[in-house]
Amino acid sequence: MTSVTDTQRRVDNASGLAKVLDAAYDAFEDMLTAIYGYHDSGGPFYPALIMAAASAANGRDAVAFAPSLLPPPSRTLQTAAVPAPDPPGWQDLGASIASLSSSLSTRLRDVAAAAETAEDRRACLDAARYAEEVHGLAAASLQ
Amino acid sequence: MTAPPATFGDFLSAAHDELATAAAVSSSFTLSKVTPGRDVDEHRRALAHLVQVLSAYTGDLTEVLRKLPSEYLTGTTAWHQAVMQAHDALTSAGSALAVSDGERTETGSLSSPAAQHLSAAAMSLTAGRDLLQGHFATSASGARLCRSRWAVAIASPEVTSGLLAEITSLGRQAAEACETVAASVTTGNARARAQHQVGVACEWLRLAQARVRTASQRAPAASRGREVLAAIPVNVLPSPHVPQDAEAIDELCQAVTTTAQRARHVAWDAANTDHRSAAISVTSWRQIAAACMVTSHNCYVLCQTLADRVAEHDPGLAEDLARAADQASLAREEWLDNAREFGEVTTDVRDHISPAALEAGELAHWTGKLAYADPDWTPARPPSGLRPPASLAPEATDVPRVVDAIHEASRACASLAVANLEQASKAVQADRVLIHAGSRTARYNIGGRTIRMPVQPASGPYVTSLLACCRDASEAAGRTAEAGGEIAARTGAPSAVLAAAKALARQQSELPHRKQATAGATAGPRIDGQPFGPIETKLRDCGVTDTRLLWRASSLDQAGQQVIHDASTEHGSQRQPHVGAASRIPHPAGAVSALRSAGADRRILAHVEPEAGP
Repeated sequence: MTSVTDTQRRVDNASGLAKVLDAAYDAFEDMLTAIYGYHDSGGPFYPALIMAAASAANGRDAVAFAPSLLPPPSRTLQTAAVPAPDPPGWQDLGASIASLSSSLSTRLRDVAAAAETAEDRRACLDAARYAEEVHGLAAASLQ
Repeated sequence: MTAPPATFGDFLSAAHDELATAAAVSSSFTLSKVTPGRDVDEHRRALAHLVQVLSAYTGDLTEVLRKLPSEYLTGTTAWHQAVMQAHDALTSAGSALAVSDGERTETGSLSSPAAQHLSAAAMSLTAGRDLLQGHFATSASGARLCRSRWAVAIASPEVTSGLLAEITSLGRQAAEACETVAASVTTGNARARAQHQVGVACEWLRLAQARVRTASQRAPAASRGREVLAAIPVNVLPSPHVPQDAEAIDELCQAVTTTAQRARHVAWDAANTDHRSAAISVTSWRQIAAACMVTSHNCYVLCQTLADRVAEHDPGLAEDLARAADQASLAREEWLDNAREFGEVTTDVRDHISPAALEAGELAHWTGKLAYADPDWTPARPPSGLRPPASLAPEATDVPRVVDAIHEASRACASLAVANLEQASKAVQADRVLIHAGSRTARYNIGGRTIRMPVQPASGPYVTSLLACCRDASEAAGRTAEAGGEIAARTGAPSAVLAAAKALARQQSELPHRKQATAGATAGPRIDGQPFGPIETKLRDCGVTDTRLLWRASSLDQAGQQVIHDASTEHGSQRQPHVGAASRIPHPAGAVSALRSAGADRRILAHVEPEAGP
């Protein structure tokens, strides 16, 4: 949860194409970690989150293929490298993911408009579309 | 309601009905009412058409046997012998009816009602054969390829023997429908000849069935072979079912069942996708894993709800349902691991949503509508109230339809899991599965293209883990489907036949071991322990080793015995003829005439003569 909240802050504060892409990559990764962490903790089964995880992975892949994505110190997948935070309840998790994905979509569309290359633009728009899918699933579950 | 896909049983029933009607119409004839000329000739033409179709079926069955080494044929089963013998008999019936080669395929216009029904039966059976053939394809090299999961079951010995029994039974029915015409009084050479042809053909049709009946007595065929045969659907994608009343349980069950059938159909195509195809995409794998996880959960919920419903009046069934629920729960966890694995890799092609992925999503949707009380349920809805047990199955008679839906859905998940496993294996071998790398400046040659991207082909532990997860999901989904099959069989749900077909397909996949076991059999006394008949003995004494000739000889020996048996049953056994050791077979004159008309070899006819009167 803390990780998702921190990432949201990074997404909101990122400026410029490269930094938004960098924050977006981590945001999608954090969503995956939070969703699988929730199910590993034995919380009630939550179909929307499972579907959202698939969209988050697709969004991360889209960002990964953007030429302007910064090469981070360790961009390899952080499989089990980061200890899972305490799992939240499904409502809290749904709310935080809905919020993060909404911000992500907005920022990605903003930078897509300013992107200089077609590959970057396409990567941003694809990732924004997947962020919207995540948002649709997470937000609908809160109604 | 959407009409269910046509099955082979539909065409079979139609043919049986047509022949029964033809027989009824014929039996209402008095001999004097048969229109001379017209009825006889029309019967001959219609029967020729029917026999041509029947022998096409047995031709399909013998084609496989003919490709086997002769050593295998010599040591084969009573049913394999029956296939060859029935085909020979039907071919002989066709030859007996033909006036010229050109006429064999055309019935022309028919005005006799009985002949019309014979012709209608032939058309039904033609459509039925097309249905069966639709499950196979032929490769450029002439090899027979499976085009559906049903194909393996169709090729199984149980279904083959069931088909043979049906075909020869239809032949027998046709012979009965032609009896009156064959026995009518006609004038003129042409009419008498046509009448004789029909009579001879009827004799061959009866002999064909007798061969199969003998095989059935020696090695009774499992009844499930005929059940599976009747249930084989046309190999096309079923139309989707959209419920008119979204809250009606039977409509929802129908939607689940139809969607599951669609999913299985497209999963077969997905599993057989070429390794270079752009249809292989991690995006589809992810959607399938996520959707099947939801479906498995919904099946778990449905099994539990149904177990609560039947606990009072059928505790045994409740226990089976609880076990099926446990399996579905385990499958859900395996799908979760699978989804996580797919989240850690990517593929060179992305964003492609396959038909299998779309149907998997639909299946999750409809199973959820059935499992939950909320009529607006979608996977996006928060966890909500389950459907009350009394609402899911108001009466005990409603249980099978829900079981049917659960079983179909779980079997579809199993097929989708196989599709994902197959595609992932192919993609790994083609270096199309990628993992995120540390440097985005790396260049890779993938599919002939140089691509700069922050990924690299997956190898080592990533590949091992990915494929192991796919296998685990496939096995868990398979176990859930098996559990569903058990409750389907217990409740008499229509989908129980799927479990039977699956079992036959599994046995069939083990057949090469059985072939190997019999391949070493050498020529000698038949494996059923019976001595060789006189004709076969004579041929062997003459040094004949050609397997086909020995088959035919054996066929004639057994046909002779059957005729004698029938004759002694019908007319009382005043003197039981001795058959076997003698070099001449006592044979009714009609049968000998039939053999002669069919062009039997003179050397064989020399050993088959009418028995002298008592």
